[in-house]
Amino acid sequence: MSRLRLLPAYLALVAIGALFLFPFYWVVISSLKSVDGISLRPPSLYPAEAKVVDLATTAPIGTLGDETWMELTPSKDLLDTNATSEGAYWLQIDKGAPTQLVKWLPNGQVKIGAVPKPKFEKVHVYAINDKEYALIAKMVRQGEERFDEVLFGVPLGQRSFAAVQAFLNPKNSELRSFSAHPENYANALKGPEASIGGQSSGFLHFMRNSLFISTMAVLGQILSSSLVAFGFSRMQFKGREFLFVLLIATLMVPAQVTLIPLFTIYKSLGWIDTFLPLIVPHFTAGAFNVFLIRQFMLTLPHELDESASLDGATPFRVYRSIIFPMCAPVLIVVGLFTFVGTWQDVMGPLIYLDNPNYRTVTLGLEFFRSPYVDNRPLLMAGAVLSMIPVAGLFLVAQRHIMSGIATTGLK
Amino acid sequence: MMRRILVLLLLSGLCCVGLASEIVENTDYKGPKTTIGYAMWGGADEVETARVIGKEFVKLHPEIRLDVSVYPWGQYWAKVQTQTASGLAPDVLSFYSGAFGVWVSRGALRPLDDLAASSGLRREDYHPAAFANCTWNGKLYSMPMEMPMWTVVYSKDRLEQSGIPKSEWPRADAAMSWDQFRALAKRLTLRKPDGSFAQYGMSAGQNWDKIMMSQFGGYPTDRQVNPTGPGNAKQREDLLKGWIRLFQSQYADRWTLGMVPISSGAFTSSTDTLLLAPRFAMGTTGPWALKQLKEGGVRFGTSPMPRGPMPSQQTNVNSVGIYSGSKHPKEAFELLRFMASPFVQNLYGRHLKGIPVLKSAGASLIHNDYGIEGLEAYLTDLEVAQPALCSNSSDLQNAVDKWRGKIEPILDAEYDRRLAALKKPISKADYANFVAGMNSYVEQTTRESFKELEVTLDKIFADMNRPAPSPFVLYAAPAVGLAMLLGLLGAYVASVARSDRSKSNAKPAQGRQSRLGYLFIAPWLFGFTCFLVGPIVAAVFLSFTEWNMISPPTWVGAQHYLDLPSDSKFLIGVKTTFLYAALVIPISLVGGLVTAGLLTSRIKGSDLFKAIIYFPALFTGAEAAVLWVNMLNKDYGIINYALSAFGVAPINWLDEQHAFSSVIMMNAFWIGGAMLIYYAGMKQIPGALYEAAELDGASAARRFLQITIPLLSPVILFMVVMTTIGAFQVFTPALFFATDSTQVGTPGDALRFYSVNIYDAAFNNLKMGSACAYALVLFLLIFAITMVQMRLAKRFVHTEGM
Repeated sequence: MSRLRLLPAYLALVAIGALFLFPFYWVVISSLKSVDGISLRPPSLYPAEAKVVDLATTAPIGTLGDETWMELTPSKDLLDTNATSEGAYWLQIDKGAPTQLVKWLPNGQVKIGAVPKPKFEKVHVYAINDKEYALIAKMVRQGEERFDEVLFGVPLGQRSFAAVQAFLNPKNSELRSFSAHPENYANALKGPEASIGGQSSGFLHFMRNSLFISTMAVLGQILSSSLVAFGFSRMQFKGREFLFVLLIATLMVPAQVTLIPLFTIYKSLGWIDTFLPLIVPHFTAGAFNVFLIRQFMLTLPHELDESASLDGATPFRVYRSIIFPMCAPVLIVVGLFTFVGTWQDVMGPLIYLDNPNYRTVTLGLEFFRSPYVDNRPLLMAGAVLSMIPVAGLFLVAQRHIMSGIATTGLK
Repeated sequence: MMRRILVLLLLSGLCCVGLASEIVENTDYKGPKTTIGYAMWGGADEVETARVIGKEFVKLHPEIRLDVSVYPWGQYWAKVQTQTASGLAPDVLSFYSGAFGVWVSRGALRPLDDLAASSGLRREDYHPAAFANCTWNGKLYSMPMEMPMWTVVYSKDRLEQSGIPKSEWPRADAAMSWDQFRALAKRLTLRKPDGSFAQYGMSAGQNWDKIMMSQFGGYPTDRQVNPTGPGNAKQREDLLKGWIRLFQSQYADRWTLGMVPISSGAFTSSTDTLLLAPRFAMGTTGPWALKQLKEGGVRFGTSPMPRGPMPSQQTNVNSVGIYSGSKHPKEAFELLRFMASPFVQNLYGRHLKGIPVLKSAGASLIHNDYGIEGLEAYLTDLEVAQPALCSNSSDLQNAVDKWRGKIEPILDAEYDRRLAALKKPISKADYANFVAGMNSYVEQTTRESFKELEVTLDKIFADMNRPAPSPFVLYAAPAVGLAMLLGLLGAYVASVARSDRSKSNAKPAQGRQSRLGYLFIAPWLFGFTCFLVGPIVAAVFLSFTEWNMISPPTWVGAQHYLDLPSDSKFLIGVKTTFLYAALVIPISLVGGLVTAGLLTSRIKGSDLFKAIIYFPALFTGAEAAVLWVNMLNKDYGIINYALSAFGVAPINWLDEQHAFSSVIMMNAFWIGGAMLIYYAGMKQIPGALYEAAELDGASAARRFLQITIPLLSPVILFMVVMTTIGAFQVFTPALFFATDSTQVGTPGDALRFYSVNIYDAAFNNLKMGSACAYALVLFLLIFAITMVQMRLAKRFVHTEGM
């Protein structure tokens, strides 16, 4: 009976849980897709690619690369005999990227006008239905400001935009096949510039930088915040309560207020383009962390440290040997929050770091996001890679975190 | 949970990693070398050219090593901004006319007159327009490299097909009049009975509008020529007429002129190479695009811009300057001289990069490497070319662009509407009526809308030419403001101190203990002083100044604060942020309470559920941006796909209309932190209370409302306060939707959160003073709201057992 009464709660939780996990399922799936596959409409729920119906019949005439006009001769039976009049057609993809020109020649050939040095990746012929086919060619070209990936198509049999659009519209999902690309991860690891043929110190290098910064930050926060929290919870000194309220009040100061002066300070210290601005402030205790640890320390019985004091232990010894170890649950929570915060920080590295070798994971990810790379599966793979440490840490420490928060006694 | 992660700002475009960065040096030379940094924008082609130039340069100057970085266009400017601000800029920076004035007036460039004088530079060897765009207030700040200029380019095939006799073709060495040009465009415009085009006579390319405007009415943003703006009524009327003419040519007699508006969706980019399409007869382009036209098999010719009542051509100038903080200006100047030397100038000409600035190198354009003939038109136009606009403010150009962006779609839509309403096939009379109607519609609408632009421009010009602030603004207002602020803070601090003294029943501290206590909190005291109080004091000082991080700050008193009430960006920022907070706080409250409530019912595996619901809250930064932008995409995004199952038409979640809702939707996924805190709080409520209530027959909902909520109220208060503080500082999601950090707040003003203004002022406009003023006002706002919440809470919060 009581089980049954809980059913709605279970259902609600399962629904929320599934909803909340879905974005992560989706990013993993997307990271395994090919560049083609990720743009399929409608999106495919598994790593899939459009099926190439007939590639053999579309032998390109002319060499790839320097030729500006590609002549493609689809096999006769694919061509509608009406396709005789000359004309230029445009196809706009996504944000209206540069238009490509497809030209029909009277002899039924298709001419593709391509602007500088195109690289044809694939030429596909798709069946729209029994009678109509679409010729879709995809090329990567290097434009003035970015690399464009242009997909363009000519419907064979019905020379109109409508047909191309119909093709791109969700109808022919049956023409798909499973195709996973785990090599996206290997490519992502090589670093963003590598994917466009440049030099990169690689994603693992970024991870090492991030790991160093985050670990130092965690160390700094755990040491300094627990020390300060001990001071506020165990030591008696004049103005203690007042200073504590002041500490809490600092939570109200937006980071933007100190942003510009801090930048100037670090600049005059010669800290720009070093990890120092990202690490040193963590050794001066975060207000929220002090608050959390202090709340926890207040719940610890005073008898322990009092008896230690009577035995002649100095306050520092009490802190080090008794209180600090007992604070483990809350310190894990503080550590995780600090790790997550510094790992994901983009503003800091962006402002303070310039040297590509000092790039952190988030900066590396941002480069994948830039129009230069424009390879979404790689971007997704990069995102998954950068999530792994945080997710791993969370899973390992999960039990402690849940209990740690429960014991902070936020009241 | 805590919005501790809120400082997680993710600035996409600023992360501008160069396309290429490489060292060019003369390896045969073994002596000591000086390294000169050189930054430019461009793509792979520019990298290649830079390599050729660099190699020749180090051959001549073996003692110099070049460190060349090439960035994509948008990222280049972001990089110049951060690098000049942090003192890390390379020695040599590249500029175009539009940016030159802005950066000179910021103090980023070193005056070159001394170096130029000692190097024996002969200015008469160069085109006069070139140096005009390298000079500011009579001082030389950069060396010209090449001049981007657009002329008319026509397709010989189209002219032949339209039966234009050869004798009437445009000539490369002589300009047409406007009447001749219009007549030709009209003959080349072919249309079908339904009104659609079979062939476009003329497509207006980049810069076309500026040339038209300068021919008919000048341009409002020419700060150097016209420092007070289009002042008198006649100048304004001329300007307005220029706009009306431009718009009429695009939206009224589009057919007769056969002109495709530049703004029309399909042709926004690649206008340079539109002639590749067999449906275009004429266009405008610069030498750089001709190679592509030739490769595309287009037979083309060039002709100078038609001549109008006023100077008929404008040339931009790309130049190189020396960063004011450069340690090696002498060596850097060698590079500058080299860029203007015959070697490089001939190279630019031969490669059709732009028009060489060196007069003697003009011939290289004619005898280019690609064997393209008929380029004399560029040299013909050069004779009448005036230097392009050079302003010290990007605000003017932005205001004009914004205005155009607003009015043109209106005109375009009206054109389409009226055209569709015409009876097909269209009769001559109907068409004449249509054009006449459109002409007056365009004129009327433009006139109406121009008033808006005038107001904006007046404001910008007034700001530029603002008289020095009065002593009241300079000294009295800051003093009064500071006194009031300090008084207020003092009163708050005193009240806190008093209430704590009365509450605290601790033993009075003894000397040694007390000192030890301070020692323990020393790390925080140090950070508090150096990384918080110090910077806040500095921010307060800076907020009373004008500072661009390059030249020293100048005192403007309370000016930035007094400007706020009339600052539309500020008001939008406040509105957006309040709306955001008003939505996000309840989401976190209700979402957190409901999920926590569900978990406290005797459920198996609640740990697992907790972990799952908390998981997304771990990722609110760069990864979330990647995750969500992919899912929100209109075409291939999973969200629209899911909605399509319910028959919802695809929504562009990333556009101006929906971006804000998308951000709110994301926030719903980040309730895990609140849930954990509420869960922990609920666990501490004694179970006996619930059992008693259950025995009394209270329903679950009733128990939740009457026991859980009241007993949880201190925790709720805490979370609401923390969420509020976080919500008012929101920034990260704005970056998810911006193409790069210079666009933060877009689409439109949809995500112009308060902190976006701070970022924009500081890092996109280098207005550190007003950024600090914005930030401090935000601080006061948060402070005030938190105080109000605490006050209100005294009435509602259950304090027993606290």
